[in-house]
This record gives sequence, C-alpha cells and structure tokens, in this order.
Amino acid sequence: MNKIIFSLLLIAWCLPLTIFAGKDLYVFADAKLTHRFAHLTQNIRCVVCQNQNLADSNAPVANDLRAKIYQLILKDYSDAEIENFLVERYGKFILLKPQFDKTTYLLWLFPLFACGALACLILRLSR
Amino acid sequence: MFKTCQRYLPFVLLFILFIFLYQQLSAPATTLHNSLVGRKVPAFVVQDLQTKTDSWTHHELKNRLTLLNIWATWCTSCVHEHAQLLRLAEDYHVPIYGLNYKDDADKARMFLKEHGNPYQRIGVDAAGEIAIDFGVYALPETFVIDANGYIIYHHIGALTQDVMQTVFIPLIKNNL
Repeated sequence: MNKIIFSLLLIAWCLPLTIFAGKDLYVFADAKLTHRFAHLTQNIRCVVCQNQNLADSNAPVANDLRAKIYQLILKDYSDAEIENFLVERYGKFILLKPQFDKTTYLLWLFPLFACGALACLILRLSR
Repeated sequence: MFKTCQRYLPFVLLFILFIFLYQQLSAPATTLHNSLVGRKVPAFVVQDLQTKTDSWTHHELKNRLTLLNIWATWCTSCVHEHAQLLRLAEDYHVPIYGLNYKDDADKARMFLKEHGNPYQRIGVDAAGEIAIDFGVYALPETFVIDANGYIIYHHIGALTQDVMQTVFIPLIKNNL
C-alpha cells in the first residue's frame, strides 16, 4: 500500500516538470532542422545571462530569441542569415564563437604569429 | 647595426603582438551594440492599445522626428521615466510612439489614465516579437527615428534628467 502511495506521489511530483519541459519545445518536421536549431541556440549567447548560451538560458528574452530563431528557420533562413539578423540587433558579442573579420583577425592569428616569432627566436639563440 | 636589428626583431614583434592582444582582451566585450542605428526601422504591424481594434505600422514613424519608446507597467524604470516622456511631449512637441511589451493591456490603459499619456499611439507587443526585431533586451528602451524612417539613436534604460539634457534635447533640437 505504501509503495502505491509513494509511486503516486512521485508521479504527481514529476508531472509539473514534464509539462514545463514540453512548454519550451520547438518541433520541426525534418531532423536536419532540429539539428540546425540546436546548433544555433548552443552557439548564440543569451543577452541577459551572458555566460550562458540560448539553449541553456531560462531568461524570458532567451525564450523569445529561441522562438525567433525557430520562426526564421521555418522561413528558410540560412544559419548565416540568422546569425546576421542577430548580430545586426545585438552586436557581434551575441556570437559565442567570434567571426573572422577585421576586428578579430589578430585574436585568431596571434598564436600563429607568436609561434613564428618564438621559433625565429629559438633558432637565433641556438646558433 | 643591421645584424643587431635582425637579432632583436622577433622580440620587438612579439612585444607589439602582446600589446595588440592586451588591447583586444581589455576591450569592453560585454557591451551589446545595437547595429540598427543608421538603418531603417524594422517593419511591423501592431494592434492599437487604446482603440483595441485599429492597427498601425512602422510607416507612422516617418515624415518627422519621432521617438519609439518600449515600455511596460511592470517595469519600474519605465514608470520612473514616464514624467520625462510627458515633459518631452509637452515642451518639445515630439511625437512619441509606444510599444507596450508583454503587459496586461488593461493595466497599461489604467496606468496612462492615472499618470497621463505622452504617446501619439501605442502598439501592443504581447508576445515580445516586435521588440526582438528591434534588438530589445532590457526595458525601457527608446529609439529616435528621423523623418526618413532611419534610426538615429538608441537608448537603453530610463530617460533621466541627465540623459534628457545631454542627449535627447540637443538631438531633438538639431533634427526638428
């Protein structure tokens, strides 16, 4: 008897959680689109909780942004177009992986330059 | 002399690279920059808060300098800046349009009845979709739009006395 009561209580406790989980679900007919949605939301920064990506954030604005990305995917926007849409509105900071452009090229190429300079230095000192 | 230069060249290059890297890393990266400034107002159609039946579009924000203020009654800063908006509308006759964001429409109408209405028209953005098109992430936010429908300024946060004196009033005077 106790087991039945315990099981019922457990189900009652879990039920609101499953309802809550279903609320934020974005369904696509194609698995590729589901994968694109997951990839995009994992690589876009939440504008409120800035150390989290959109997929992990519970902020209301993150939910709005997820909904927007969902709509844009359904409208046949490419990943680059969706990223541009967000960058136009929230700046490049919204991308968790910075693009390679004139403002970030040094950051990307620094390890290469630094390794080159160090190699030259070592060669010179070893002679 | 040439050989000495050649010997120290890698040190100098490395030093310069470190300076650049330090500059890039110490830049204020957490600032979200709205790039819509200098661009046309995003297209939208909204239901009017006051009439409940009419709707209006982004085409209203043309032919003169206008302000688009995004607000809600649950937002404390929006309530604080309300007096500044009333002053702006009364003293400078600037057409202010409002976008009521994820709010209770009845509460919003009641709020305007009690505190005064600085807005020409107010659109209802119940789902927050239009706000996302404007790159909004913290209420209140105010956009200044020129006569050609281009966004010329974007302010995040409440319109304080200081912001009015240093930014908005000079901007309005220069563009009216």
